[in-house]
Amino acid sequence: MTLSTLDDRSKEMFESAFGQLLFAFFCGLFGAVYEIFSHEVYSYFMIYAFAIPLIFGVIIPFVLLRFTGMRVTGHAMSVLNMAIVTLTVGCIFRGVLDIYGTTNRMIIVYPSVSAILFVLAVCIYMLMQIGSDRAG
Amino acid sequence: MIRHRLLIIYGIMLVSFTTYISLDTFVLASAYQSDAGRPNTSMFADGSVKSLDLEEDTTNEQVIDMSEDSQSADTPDEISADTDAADTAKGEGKSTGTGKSRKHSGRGKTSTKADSSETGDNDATASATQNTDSQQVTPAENEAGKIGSFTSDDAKISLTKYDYEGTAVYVADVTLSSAEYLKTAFASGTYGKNITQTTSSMASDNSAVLAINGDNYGSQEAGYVIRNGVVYRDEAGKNDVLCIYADGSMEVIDPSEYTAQELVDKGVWQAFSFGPSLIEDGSVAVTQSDEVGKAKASNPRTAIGIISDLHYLFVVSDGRTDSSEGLSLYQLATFMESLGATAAYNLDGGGSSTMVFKGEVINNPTTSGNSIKERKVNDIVYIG
Repeated sequence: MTLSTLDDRSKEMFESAFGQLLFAFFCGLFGAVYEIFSHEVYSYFMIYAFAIPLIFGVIIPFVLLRFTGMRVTGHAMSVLNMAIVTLTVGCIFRGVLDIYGTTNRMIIVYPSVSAILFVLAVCIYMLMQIGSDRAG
Repeated sequence: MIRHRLLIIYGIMLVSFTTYISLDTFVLASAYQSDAGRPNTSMFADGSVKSLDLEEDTTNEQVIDMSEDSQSADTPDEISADTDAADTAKGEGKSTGTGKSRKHSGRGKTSTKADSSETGDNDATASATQNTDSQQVTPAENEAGKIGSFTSDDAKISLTKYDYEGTAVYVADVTLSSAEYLKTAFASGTYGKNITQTTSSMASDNSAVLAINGDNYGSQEAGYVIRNGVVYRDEAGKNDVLCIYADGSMEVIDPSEYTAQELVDKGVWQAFSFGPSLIEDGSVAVTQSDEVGKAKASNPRTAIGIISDLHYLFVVSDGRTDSSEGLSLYQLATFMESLGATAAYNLDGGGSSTMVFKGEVINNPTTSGNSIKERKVNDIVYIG
């Protein structure tokens, strides 16, 4: 199966997953380099920043596709990607704060917004499914 | 097309917010209270807080230059002591068994050091010698030499450099007639966020004889800040709090047990929220795996300890340099225990670790890793 043989929805999904994969590797590299220059001070949040796009942007979509045939595309996919990126940026920032040894209460904004976007993505997906069922 | 615009707009919002929160955390200064640091004079019997004067010094000793360039001539051969086996046996279980509600202190403790203090012998070398029974490493054996001293009617300070575990450690053995001479100061005299100044500059502004960096309270949003008997932050943090009382005693408390005002009512003159507690009841209270947050292994350190009431140890270690590896918390605790400390507490370390004596920076602060440069911090603890 190559990208050229896929339908538009699957192709969009593969492209999104590829983007998230690159994002995950960038985050992993950033975390590793940051820790090198931080006198061996580390933070688990740098690892989470690598894992979140990998799990939520690559692994879970493909598991859903494989076992349920679910394809998250269109606006639902865009909003889901926003949620993943927001949570990942939040993790990187939390990692930086941990390594520096400081705190900031506003960091709660990242997971909160991410959760809202995730719920929104699910809602959009369900509405899209209902719409396509009616059309079908 | 709409999706792409939406993504771009959201991306801009995300970057903007992240930039703002970064500036808020690291750059933007907020003064909560200017002209801070005035002492609560009601804590002392005569209703005043006196200060030391460098002119009172009767020793007339020059501070020996201990900067990086001159260290090779002063530093003795490296020590070869290995404390691993004993450390493991001693350290494990110490910090776990205490529980959250524990309340240990150096208050009212008696020790061999207390005796030596009473007789006027407050030399760190003597302290170490008296505590060798349970130690494999004797700091006295690693003493690199006296750096300087200060003696007046109300304060006696002896500053010594040790070479311990491949690290230069600077110890100020301080004996005071009253805790009113153990003071703290905020950068620019202002309590706030991201308001910083070098330790030496703050020491100079406050005419300090001896100064070390404090707990860098501004980097945390919670944790009691009580300075010179005045409450500046009454929100409890997660860390145990070091309390230095007006009677000269010292105690580490669980902040959930007392409010900040209750602590002042109890007579707390200074309170710091950093930690962890290094020594409790004369025993090392950290294990070899304990660290500050996610920091690993060896680092420059700052700590304060008590041998007996009004008899303190101010300790700063170098680290992150070719000549000084740095200390783990456990190594620091073990070192201070061997000096006779009955209670000790870790303050902000890393690049912040700085000791100033008679106007000179004694250690080698490492702000940006390899370069020797003082970092700006929020606060200092000083004798003056």
